Amino acid sequence: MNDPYSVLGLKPDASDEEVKKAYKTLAKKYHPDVAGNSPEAARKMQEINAAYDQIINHKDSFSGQSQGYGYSYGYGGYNSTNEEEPIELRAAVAYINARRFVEALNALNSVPYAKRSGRWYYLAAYAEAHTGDTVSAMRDIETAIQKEPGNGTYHAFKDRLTGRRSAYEDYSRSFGGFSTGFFPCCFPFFPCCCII
Amino acid sequence: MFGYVLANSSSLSKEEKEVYKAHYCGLCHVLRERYGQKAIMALSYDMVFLEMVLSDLTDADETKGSERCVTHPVKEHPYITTSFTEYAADMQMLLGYYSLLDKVKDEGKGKSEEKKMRTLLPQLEKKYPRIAESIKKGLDAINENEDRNLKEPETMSLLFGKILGEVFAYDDTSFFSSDLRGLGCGLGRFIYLLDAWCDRKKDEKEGAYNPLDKNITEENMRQMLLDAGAAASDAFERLPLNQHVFILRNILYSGIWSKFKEEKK
Repeated sequence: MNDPYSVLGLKPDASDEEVKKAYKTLAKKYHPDVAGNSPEAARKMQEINAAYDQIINHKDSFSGQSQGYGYSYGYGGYNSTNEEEPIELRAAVAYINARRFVEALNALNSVPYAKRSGRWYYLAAYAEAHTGDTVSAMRDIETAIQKEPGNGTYHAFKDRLTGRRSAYEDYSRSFGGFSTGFFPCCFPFFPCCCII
Repeated sequence: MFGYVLANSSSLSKEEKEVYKAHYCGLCHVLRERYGQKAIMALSYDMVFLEMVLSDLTDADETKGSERCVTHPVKEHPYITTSFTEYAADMQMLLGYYSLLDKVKDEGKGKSEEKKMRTLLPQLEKKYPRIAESIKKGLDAINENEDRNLKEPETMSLLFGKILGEVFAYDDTSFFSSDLRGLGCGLGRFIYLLDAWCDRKKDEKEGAYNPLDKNITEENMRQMLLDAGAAASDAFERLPLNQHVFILRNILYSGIWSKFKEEKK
């Protein structure tokens, strides 16, 4: 596949804001409402989505090989070279690549408790985090690490989860005090009286 | 359980405040138009947030107007609506109806409103089957846990989070549906937890259910809220938003904490 930045007409050092803006401009151009139902426009739309996905969603995810387990999560997505990967896990990986995290969790849940490996817990944590359930994600990535303490991918994912949290806290703090209140007189019956 | 998703007005510019207000008045306008004057009682900032996220995400066309309304009869004020204002109004009614049912069940209040709203329900359920189903299922699970007095705030808040996640994922085939779901889920968890925190004293006095342990510390609470807020912001930052992003960040990183900070004082 082409370099994702060039698909969006950007230089490789473009900021996230520029990527988002370029994505929206192009998405509008190739939207079926504008471009009609041509296969060319649909293909272009797929390309744009894939490029956005690579830059925004995979940037700080699981890049590189994970400690000789034969899995990589690079720009090409999740490539499993392990022939013995159970079918449920392979399905989960496919769903994760398609950003269908609820379905990925459904596939994973069909594996009985006794057969849940470190990798199972890792995939579950990854999917859970993306559905907004960071509590289960934290619990499962810790189980994954217990099962395979030497796996760098698992540690990296745990760091990412905790990192997100401190990033949120830091940015939150940058708004400063809450000095002048929050439209305090707004209760449901008197909507917009106090905003100005 | 509504009304926690506010902006922190002290760090919004004058223009930003005006945009925010116009979207709020837009939702009020559509609620009134679709559901009658009384429906504005259901109006909340939570759904204004949703409307602004979806409008920005899709670059939806804006319709601008100006009107006088019952609450502001003297001065004409501007409002903005988009194709998502209607969606937000419908969601407000759906969520409002089911929580009203709870109230009728628990306290015996709101029977006449329930009757009126019940007539609206079939068309909303038909229009949004996936969402209506998950609201119903989620609230059933919450009720069941309340009945057995489950003291697990994380479990309980996640149930509410999943509901709001489905509400945010307006179109399940959209490329951004998973991020919208994550945003809604994190925000829902936050709202549920904060609501439990703000109500804990009242609930104790009345012997009502509350998921929090009586001895919970403020720091424990803050940590749980941080986790929920971080989950929401993680998904939020993946969305290609550029029109209202300053207002929305203000809400997500600062405004939603207002009731928690107020409580501290």
